[in-house]
Amino acid sequence: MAKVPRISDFIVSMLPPSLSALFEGFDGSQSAYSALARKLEPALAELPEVRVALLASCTVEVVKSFLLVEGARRGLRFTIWCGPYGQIEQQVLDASSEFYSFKPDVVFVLARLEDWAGGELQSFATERDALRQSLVKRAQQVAQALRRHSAASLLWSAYATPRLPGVEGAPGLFGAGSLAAFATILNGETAVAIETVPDARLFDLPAVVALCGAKRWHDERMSFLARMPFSGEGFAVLGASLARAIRALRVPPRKCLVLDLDNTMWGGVIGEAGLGGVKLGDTFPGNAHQALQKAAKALRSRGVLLAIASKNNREEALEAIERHPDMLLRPADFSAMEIHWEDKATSLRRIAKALNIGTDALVFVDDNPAEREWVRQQMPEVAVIELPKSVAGYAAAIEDSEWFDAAVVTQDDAKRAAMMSQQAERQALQESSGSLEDYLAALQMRVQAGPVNAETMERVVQLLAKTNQFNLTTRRHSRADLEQLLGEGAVAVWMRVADKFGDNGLIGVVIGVPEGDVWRVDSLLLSCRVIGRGLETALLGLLARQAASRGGRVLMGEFVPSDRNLQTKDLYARHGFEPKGEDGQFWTKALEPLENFAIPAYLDLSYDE
Amino acid sequence: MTSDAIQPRLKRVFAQVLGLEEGVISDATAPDIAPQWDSLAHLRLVMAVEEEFGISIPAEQVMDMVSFKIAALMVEELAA
Repeated sequence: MAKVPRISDFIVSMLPPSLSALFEGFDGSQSAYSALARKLEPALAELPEVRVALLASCTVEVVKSFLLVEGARRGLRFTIWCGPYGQIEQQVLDASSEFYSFKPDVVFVLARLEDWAGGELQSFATERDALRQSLVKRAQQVAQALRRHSAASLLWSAYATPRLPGVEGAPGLFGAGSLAAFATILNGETAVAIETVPDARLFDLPAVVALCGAKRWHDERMSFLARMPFSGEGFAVLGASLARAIRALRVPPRKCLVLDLDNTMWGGVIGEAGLGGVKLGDTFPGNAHQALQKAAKALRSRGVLLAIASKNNREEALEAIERHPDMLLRPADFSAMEIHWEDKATSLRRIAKALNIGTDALVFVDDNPAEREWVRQQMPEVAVIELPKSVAGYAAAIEDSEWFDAAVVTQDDAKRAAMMSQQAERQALQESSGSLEDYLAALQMRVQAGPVNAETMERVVQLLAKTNQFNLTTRRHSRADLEQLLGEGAVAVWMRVADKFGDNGLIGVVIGVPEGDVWRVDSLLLSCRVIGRGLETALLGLLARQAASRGGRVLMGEFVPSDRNLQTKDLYARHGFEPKGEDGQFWTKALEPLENFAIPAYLDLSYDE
Repeated sequence: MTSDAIQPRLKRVFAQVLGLEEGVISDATAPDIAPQWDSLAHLRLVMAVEEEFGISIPAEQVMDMVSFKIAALMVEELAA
């Protein structure tokens, strides 16, 4: 019997118990899908709703029950509307259509080449370039029309190679003039064209056909009888794949992959086999363990944090990670490492804490079923990947788990892992340092500062716009505001900081406005990732020197409370300012002598005039 | 395949696809007395029966499967 490729059953176990119970005994057969869809439909009220509209050039309504079940399995309640076949453009171009009154969140379009260009493709005499361009344009126009009337996400099906018997000279040859080449180039061009429309992208229908197997996907009988060209099994695979894609659009990926070491990252037990005895390398099973590492490394480059939870002697394990010649992952790739003999739930909680993420952002991979079961019981919010018996399937199991599916991957995502692991190293240093002063000195901070100029203006305005926590007045000056202040004699100073673990970038701003010989600190802010390092003291010191050199005699601090910045309310008191009035808004301190505005000695500071 | 071997499996498939209790399904179950059996359900039913018994009903006969009794006869004939 056809088995639909599906997400790990454990995503079902993460549903509310009343729902996961409905999946009991579900065998994946088509009739079971029908029955389960009927049972689920009235029971999904507590899941978040996604309204899915289906528009196709052929009959696809049969997919509804598969899609509903596959959505529920992933924790989503799909409300599904299926348009009449062959009415893609009619529905999308008409603002008063039934399609728009359904108010879709996600629109799935399936236009088959057989239906849209079957006639033109029938003969090789056709001008195929012109046909391709018109098809690209047709898809883009539908996407643009949709965007005029609706904010719904669009999934446009990439074109599967059409089955047009007799047209191909020799099926199996991927000639430049073949239908396969035509569809491939068309898909590349359509992907680019459709992504010019916000939140519009292709759905990989050819991959669905391949997953099902082309021979089992097509059903000529139903095509002739009911304009329904796919088999029941095909619809089941389509439902699962589409539900997965929709989930990726709606649910952010998990943030951290936590890996076990022995028999997961490498074959064997390091404590018994030793560095030379564990299996890792280019022959089986070492290459399968390496494949798992490769997958983890790829995830890391997309911004997923990596961590280790292993029961081992720490030194022994670390030595293997550092020195084994076939390790693809090294200590620097891990944002947190829990290697000791305590239980794994404890390790997972510590990892989440160290990385400042929720335990519900963790995905746990361990070859030992007992450890998996323990974590599942102790921390039901952690996603536990059910590994297959053989290591050959470990890497694929991570991909198939869907926990790291992300519709959009940005450059910032890619940098995040590097910045987070620097953050974890800083934290480790803090834990090993005695006093705060020792820690700050050990960070070896190099601070650069200077007057805001054309080069730094953009970043400074961005910081003014988005800094909430360490921001004394939360004044959201625009670029024009700031330029005007500077024109009137104000001083604005930016600050960058780098430390032994990496560059934090431009992270601080202070703005002083002269009011006679009193200089008012109009704005003072720091990015939250560098709070607690005495950088605010340096900013005040820098401003004091600028003000004094321009004839200022008094610095007047200002604090304007917001619902986010309360941690800064005693900043001026800490720096020896006297309150002016009862409300704590204004504070003053004489600029003479400037030694009272000392810059912390552990900062290696340079000021660019 | 004998009729006795077919009946319970076929009843389950019909019940699941049409949303009926197995007990109410009889030889006489047909579109005109079971309103759930609409044209879409018919397609589902055909595909589900084929999957259950590993058979393929020829295009010419797909629309002829108009009662439980006929379905059982078709399966009996096609399932070797």
